[in-house]
Amino acid sequence: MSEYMVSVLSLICIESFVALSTYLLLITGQISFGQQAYFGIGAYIGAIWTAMLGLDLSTAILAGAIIAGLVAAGVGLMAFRLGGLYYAIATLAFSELVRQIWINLIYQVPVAGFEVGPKGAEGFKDIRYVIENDISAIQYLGLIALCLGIVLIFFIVLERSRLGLSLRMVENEETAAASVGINPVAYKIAAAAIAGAIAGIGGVLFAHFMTFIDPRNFGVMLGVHSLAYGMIGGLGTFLGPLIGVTIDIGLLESLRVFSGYRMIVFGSLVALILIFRPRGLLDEKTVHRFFQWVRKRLDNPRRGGSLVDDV
Amino acid sequence: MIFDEYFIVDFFQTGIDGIMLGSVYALMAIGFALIWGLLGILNLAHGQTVAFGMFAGMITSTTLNLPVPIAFACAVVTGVLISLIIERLCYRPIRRAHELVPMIATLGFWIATEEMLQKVYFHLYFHDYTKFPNPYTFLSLDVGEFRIRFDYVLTTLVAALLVGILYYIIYKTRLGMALRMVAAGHDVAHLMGVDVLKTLRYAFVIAGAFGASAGYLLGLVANMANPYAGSVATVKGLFTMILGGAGSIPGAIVGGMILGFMELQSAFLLSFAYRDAIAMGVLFLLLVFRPHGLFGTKVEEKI
Repeated sequence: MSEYMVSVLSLICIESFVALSTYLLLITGQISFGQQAYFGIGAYIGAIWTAMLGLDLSTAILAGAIIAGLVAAGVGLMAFRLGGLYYAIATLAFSELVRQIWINLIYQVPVAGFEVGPKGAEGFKDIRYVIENDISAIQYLGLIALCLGIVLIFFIVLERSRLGLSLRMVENEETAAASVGINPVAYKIAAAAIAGAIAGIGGVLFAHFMTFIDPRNFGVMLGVHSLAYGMIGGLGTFLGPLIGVTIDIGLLESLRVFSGYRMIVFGSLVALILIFRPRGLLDEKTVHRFFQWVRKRLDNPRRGGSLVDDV
Repeated sequence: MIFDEYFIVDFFQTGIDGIMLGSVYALMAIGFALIWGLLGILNLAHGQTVAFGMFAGMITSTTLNLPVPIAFACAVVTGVLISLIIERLCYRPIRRAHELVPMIATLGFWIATEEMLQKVYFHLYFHDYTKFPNPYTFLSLDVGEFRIRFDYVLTTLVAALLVGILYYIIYKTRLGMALRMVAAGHDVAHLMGVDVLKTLRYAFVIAGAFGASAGYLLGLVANMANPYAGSVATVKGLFTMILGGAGSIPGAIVGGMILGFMELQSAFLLSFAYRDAIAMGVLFLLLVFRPHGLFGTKVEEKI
C-alpha cells in the first residue's frame, strides 16, 4: 500500500468515528450539530496525555473516551428535554463554546527542552508520540482500524439487541416507548454519553495522526459533515455513515480531478442524493428487503424461497 | 475593566454600539425565522445569502467603483438569486420528505458554496481586492459625550427601513395575507385558494434580500469580506432566532439587539477574548432553561 493510500484510509477511519457518533444520536431521534466538540475534547485530552504528561497512547484513548463521554453525558442531561431543532442548536452552541475555549487556551510546559502544549488559535503542535515510538503509518492505521472495529462490534451487537430496538422506539414513538416500560430519558442520556465517547476516541486518534491540532479542526463544518454522512449513506444500519465518509474522503480524494474542489462536489452530491433518495443510499427499506432476501435464501437454498411464502 | 470616571460613559457607548451592531444580527435572523415559521424547516444555507451579498457588494464596489447604494442593490439581487436557487434545489423537489431531508440538502448547499467562496476569495486575495471599501470610516456623530460611528447609524437606519417594509408587506398587502395564511397551515391556505408554492417562493426572495443586506452591512462595518461569513452568519443567525423564540419576527429583531448588546458588553466588562464563548454559554443555558426563547411562553406537550 502506498503512503498516500494509508493516510487516506486512516482519515476515512478517523472521520468514521464522528460520523458514527452523530448516527447513534440520530437513531435515538436527536439531531446533533455538535459532535465535533467531543472529537475536539478527545483530541486535546489525548495530546495533553501523551505530549505533556508523557503517558502512553492506549491509556490516552481510554482517557479521551471517558472524559468526552462524561462531558457528553452532562450535556445530554441538560439538553435531553429539547426536541429537534432546539437540541440541534443547543449542541451547536455547546460545540462553539468548546471551540472558543480552545482558541483561548494557552498552557505550555517545558518537555525535554521544548515548550509543549496548546497555544490558543495557533493550536497544539508536536504531538510526537507516534514518531517517537517508531510506529509506522501502517501500524498506526492498524491501531485505528482496531479501535473502529471495536466500535463497529458495539454497533452490530446494539442493532441485534433489545437495546437497539428500544433506541429506535425512542426515536419513533417516545410516548409509546415510555408506555411499554422503556425510560426514554435514560436511553437518550446513555446514547449521548456513548456517542461522545466514540467521538472522543476518534479525536485522540486524530491528534496523534496529524501530530498537530488547531481549533479550526473542530469547527461547525465537521459536525455538519458528520450529519451529512449519515443522511446520504442512509440511516438503516451503521454502514450508512461509513458509506458517507467513504464517498466523501475516499472516492472524491482518489479521483484526482475533484481533489481541489472536493467540498463543492460533495455538497452538491449531498443535495442530489437526497432529491433521489430522501432516506439515503442504504435506507431502512433497502436493508429490510436485503435481510428478507438473505433469510429466504438461508431457509431454502435450492428454491430461493420458502413454501410458506408461496402460499 | 476599570471603574473610573469614564466607566459609565464607556458602558453606555458600548451598549449603543452593541444595539446598532445587533440590528445586523436581526436582519440575519429574520431570514431564518421567516423560513422556519412558514415551512417548519431549518434553512442552513441561509447564511450563504449573507456571504454572497457581502462578496457581491465587495466585488462590485472594488472592481467597478460603484457608489454604496448601487453596490448594495447588486448585493441584494445576488442574495435573492442565491435564495431562489436554494428554494429550487433544496426545498421544492424534496418538500414531501421528512423535515430533516430539506435541512440536510441546504446543508449540502452550504458546504459546496462555502468552498466556492473560499476559491473566489483566494483568487481575489492575490489581486488585492479583499478590502471592503467603506467611505464612512472616519465619519462619526457626536451626541453629548458619546461618539457614534456613522456606518453604525447607517446600518441601523437600513435595518429599520427594511423591517418597516417587511411589516408593510406582511400586514398591508395581499402577499402578506397569503404569507400569514401559509404560516397558519399549508393545507388550509391551499383550500382557501392561495398558491402555496408561489407564496413560499416570495418568502425565499424576502429572506434572501434580508440576508444579503445583512452581509453587505457586515462587510461595510468590518471593512473586509470573509469567505467564512456564511458559517458565522448561520451560527449567529440561528442563535438570534432562538433567543427571541423560533419563527417569530419580532423575536428575531429583539434577539438581534440582545445578542449585539451582550457580545460587546461581555467584551467590555469581562474579557475580549472570551466574548464569543460567553455569548455561546449564555445561549446554551438559555436553551436549557427557557427552550422557547426569552419571550416564548408556549410549551409543546406531546401526548
